[in-house]
Amino acid sequence: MGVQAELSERLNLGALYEMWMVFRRNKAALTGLILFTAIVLMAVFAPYLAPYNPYESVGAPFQPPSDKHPLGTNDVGQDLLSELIYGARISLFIGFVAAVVGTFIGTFIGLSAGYFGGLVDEALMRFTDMWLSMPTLLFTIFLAAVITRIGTFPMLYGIILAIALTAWPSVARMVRSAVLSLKESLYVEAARAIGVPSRRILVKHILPNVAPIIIIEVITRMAIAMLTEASLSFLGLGDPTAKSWGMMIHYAMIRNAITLGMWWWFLPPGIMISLSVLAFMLMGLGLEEYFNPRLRYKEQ
Amino acid sequence: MSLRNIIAFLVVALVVLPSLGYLAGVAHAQGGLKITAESYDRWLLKECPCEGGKLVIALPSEPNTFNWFVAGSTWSILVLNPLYDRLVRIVNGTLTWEVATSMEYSSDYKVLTIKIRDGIKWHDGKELTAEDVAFTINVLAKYGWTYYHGYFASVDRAEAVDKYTVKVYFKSPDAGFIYNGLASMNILPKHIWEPLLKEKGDGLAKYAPKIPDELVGSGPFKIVEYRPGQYVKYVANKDYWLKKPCVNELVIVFIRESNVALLAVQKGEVHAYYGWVTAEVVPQLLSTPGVSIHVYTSPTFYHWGFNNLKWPFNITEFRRAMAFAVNKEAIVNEILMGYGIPGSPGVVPPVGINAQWYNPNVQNAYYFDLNKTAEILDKLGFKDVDGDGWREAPDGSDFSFEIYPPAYDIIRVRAAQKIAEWLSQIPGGGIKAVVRVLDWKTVWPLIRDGKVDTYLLGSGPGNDISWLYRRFHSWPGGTGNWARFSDPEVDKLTEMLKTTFEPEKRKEIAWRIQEILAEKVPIVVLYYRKMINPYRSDTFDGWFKPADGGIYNRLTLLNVYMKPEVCPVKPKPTTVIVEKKATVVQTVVQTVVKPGTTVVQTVVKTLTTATPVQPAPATTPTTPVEKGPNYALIAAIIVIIVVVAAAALLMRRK
Amino acid sequence: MYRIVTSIITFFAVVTLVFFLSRLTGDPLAELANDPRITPEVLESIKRLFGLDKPVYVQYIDYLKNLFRGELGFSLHYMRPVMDVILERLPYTLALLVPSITISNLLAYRIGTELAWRRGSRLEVTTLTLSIFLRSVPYFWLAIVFLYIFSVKLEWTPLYGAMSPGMSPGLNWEFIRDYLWHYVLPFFVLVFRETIAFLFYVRSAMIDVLGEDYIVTARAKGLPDKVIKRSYVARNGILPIVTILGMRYAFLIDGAVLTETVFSYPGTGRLVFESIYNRDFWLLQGVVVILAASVIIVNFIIDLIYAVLDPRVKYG
Repeated sequence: MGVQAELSERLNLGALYEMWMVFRRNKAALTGLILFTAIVLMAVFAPYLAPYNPYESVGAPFQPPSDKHPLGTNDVGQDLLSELIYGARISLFIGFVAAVVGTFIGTFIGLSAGYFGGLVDEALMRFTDMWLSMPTLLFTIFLAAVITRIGTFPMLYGIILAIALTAWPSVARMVRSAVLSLKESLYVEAARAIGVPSRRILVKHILPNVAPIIIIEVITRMAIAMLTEASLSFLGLGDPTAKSWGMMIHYAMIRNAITLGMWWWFLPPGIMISLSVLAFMLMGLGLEEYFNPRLRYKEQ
Repeated sequence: MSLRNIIAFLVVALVVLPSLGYLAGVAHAQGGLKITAESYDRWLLKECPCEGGKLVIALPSEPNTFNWFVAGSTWSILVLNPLYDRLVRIVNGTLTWEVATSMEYSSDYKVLTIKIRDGIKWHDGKELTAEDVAFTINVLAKYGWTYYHGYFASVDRAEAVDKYTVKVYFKSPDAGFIYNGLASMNILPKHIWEPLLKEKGDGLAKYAPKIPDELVGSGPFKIVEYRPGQYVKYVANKDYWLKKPCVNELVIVFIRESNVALLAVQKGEVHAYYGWVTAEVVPQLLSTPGVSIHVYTSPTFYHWGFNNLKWPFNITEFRRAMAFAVNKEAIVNEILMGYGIPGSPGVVPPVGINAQWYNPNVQNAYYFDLNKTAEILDKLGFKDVDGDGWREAPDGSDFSFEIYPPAYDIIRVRAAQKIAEWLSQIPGGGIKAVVRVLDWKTVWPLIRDGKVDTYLLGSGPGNDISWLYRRFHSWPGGTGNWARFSDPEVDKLTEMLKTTFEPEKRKEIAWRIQEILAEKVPIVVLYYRKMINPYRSDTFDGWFKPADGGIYNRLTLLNVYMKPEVCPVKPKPTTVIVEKKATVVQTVVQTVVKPGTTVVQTVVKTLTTATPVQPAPATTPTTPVEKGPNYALIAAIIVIIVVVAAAALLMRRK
Repeated sequence: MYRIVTSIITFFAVVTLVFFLSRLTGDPLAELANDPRITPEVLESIKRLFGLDKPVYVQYIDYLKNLFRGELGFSLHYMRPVMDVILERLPYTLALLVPSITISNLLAYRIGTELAWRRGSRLEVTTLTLSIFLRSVPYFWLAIVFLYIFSVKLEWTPLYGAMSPGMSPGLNWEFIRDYLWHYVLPFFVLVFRETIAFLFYVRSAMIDVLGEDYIVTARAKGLPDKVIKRSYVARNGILPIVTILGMRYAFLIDGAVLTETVFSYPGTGRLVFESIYNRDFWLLQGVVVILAASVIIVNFIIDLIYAVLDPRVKYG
């Protein structure tokens, strides 16, 4: 037991190092990593970075950018730069939770479909295909509209749930095909032959091997979840008390920022969303390269 | 007939008639109550400085239906407004005769006799008669699915006695009937709707009338075309009986984003916007040359409602304490940016038609004073016993409540947050109030079913003060009494409002109710909002700007004209005016003989007939299109073909 | 046959799901209660009229029955059959979707092939980097920025709508010009966005093709690039691209919802936004069903096309 743990630890360290090497070689992935780190740092240290509390009126409303308020103020006199910095927290939170929940659902379905095969596989995959072929955003909008009107829980959770419920199908497909190929591998066969229960095989042997796919999926799902959240907020389905970047754009729209020419209100949040989505996508590319060495660019 | 006789007649008529009318309003004349109302004359423009032109009005939403019987949304009513006439209408807070010329109640108030004007024509040329009026009232009284049925539920039946007289028979006297029911009832043509009703029965509720064939009205504009999601187009009804509209065409466009609508007004593509405009754009609008704004106060009362059945809100003193903790002025000044007036403790808004029942004495029944709140709370035993900065319930347990504003209205969300802030600042320990923002669809059933502590709600008052019955009578009578307020005296008084017809007595009752409401505080009215409508003042003039309503209204439609400098047709030469004076003298004589119509109206009428040298319509007559979307489809197909061909070429070249 | 059956099953699954979910939102008439005109009796009779007093499963059966007659229920906001409301708007959306999917796919196909061909060149790297960044930009935000630049600042394009108010459609030059003038910006946003998104698929599909033996052989034989590109790469690369066309169509619908909303374009996409705004869940349900059905149909057609293009595929 102890030997095994030591071995896996060493392996993990090696893996981290190798991953770093891949990222260092791949400029795009490195950019993604740097951007990601910067945004996460911004979210974590928001209270220290933001000049004001974004939930407090600190000046006259609708101020243009000035020394005091680098991005001006919003409709109730809150500092827009502080809103932008704090917005990272909520946007990342929504993206992260939705992606993790979505990936979890997808992994669960993909694992069961792939492992049990037969009728279960057929039924689950039909269902997955159905979801996959539908316009995702349209369904998310529908779900968000419905879920936020059912219970009395905060609207934020409703939106996260809606995003998660439409994010899983592609994960399920990928996990399933990975499981299918793993199922044929020798050690699973061997485990089955010695009578290891199927749940144990799934958790102990198959799951660790599909982990790379899951990690990549969480990262790309996060990018998509953040985009979806912004779209929902823009359409007026967001939680008005949670100041995500999407919500900032929504407020800018309903308080006539376009008419007033206040580009400093609706441009920065859009750029921030773009940058974080970009970071996730680039990182996803890098990770894919690491896990799938065939994709690696040949050194010149 | 000598000239002396005529003059004598005139003098008598001028002196006696108005005084008679005055007396009729106060006392019972011959057994029943005669209704008094204003005439349109004082608002109407005598003549159009310019005729012709196209007026474009933007609304934030499209009509849900053109079937007026089920027209639920404001936007449907607004879009049908140019089309239909009413018996009476509330113009700038006063009752005004439209199709009706007089109304009289029988002595037991169970019969209302309505006389209507003769010579009104539907757009298809048939005459509007008492039959049409009776038909419309009967449908509303009989069918529960009509949206105005609630106002007509007391009606037993309506009968056309002769061509111009209608008698309405009531099951029970209903003092609010004229203001609530008749003033909001469009008269629909019997010859169109009766066959439809016979054919469809209750299915008429789901019926969408064909445009324009089945949308025959008698109003100043005829409907020509409707593009879903885009616009409705009308042409002026040049034979309109009250006054010929000055513009030739009216287009109502639907622009949901106020951002876009405002830009369209600034660019001059749209001449007025009747929608929600928030105050921050006012400076920019006013700095745009040619754009002005009309500011009016909406009578909707936005209030902080308490569930009067739930502890501790069932304690009158506790509710009073809450009332002292609300700074209404701060909400108006800071959140509404001054565009609002603080709510009256008596609930009744001091604007519009409700102003006549408004009791100004209760204005200071409560005011912002946190010390006072603290004092009352101390007396009630709500004290901070454990020293955590928050007050506990009298039994010493922790205590907090929730405030539910709807998520779509940022003003109310902010107001709720402010209230919570003030409550936390009460000296000697705050009250913990949690603001919970949820979608309206979720919150509303909770409010309706009495499951929440407090909520922020905007409710519209009715035209007639008997709406207090609906809002404050205890259940099950007060079906709009979401605060679950119950008070025997208010019950009695609101019931009286429904059956008392004498104006003075009604006012007395209304004042007393407001005193009780101010004392018992079932709800705290926070504000009445001031609305902003931007409009073009450089190209159009003659806008009618009521203090309690938007820029888009009946009188604007009749009066608004293009300014002479941009007028497509030059005004008539001065010689016509001489001719006009001649006709005026003539018509005065006519009016005396026929006291039903008023002086100026006849002048206008004669003028239009006496001067047939009216300029021809400036714009080309519009051709109605029978099937619209097909053209869009054809255009789309052309585009597709062109695009595909271009793409194919592009592909081949390489 | 198999495809037809699964398509139909999928369709009914979507209908059922959407139906029950929208029934979860509770009483669609609840809000009427605060209207001073509406008394409880009126509310009751309206409820009866729309069958809202029946249990949900009866409503579901009614709904399915109506579906066979081509009806999608009744919009409580518009007081009209949902199908009528949608059909009024559908031409605008189709006029936007069909050309933009065609153009963007052709464009992406050309550019993607070129990029795959010049793999590793500076041009490829720049284009890809730029595309990756543009792909991260939120759809609606891009539309807003375009609206702000072209309509508000430059005043080249109109602010809203599919035609000028009061412009009665007709086959005349004036109308067509007005229509195209309103059309160009939403169309451009859709094409722009879709081209970029599609580019990646084309490129990777083409790279796979380029790695195939026959291409390598052809290149070794010294065939001109033009011939290889046209006769070998294009032919073989088109199959994987056709496969995901259905998915692209679904994405385009998502794009249309956002684009139409930003440009106030009166299509079905905007209807989604408006029905949420009006809380008209029966209409929202109808729109989702119609758009989902269109995706299923498009996927079905694509399968057929695939069968024609690739003789290896046989459907029984």
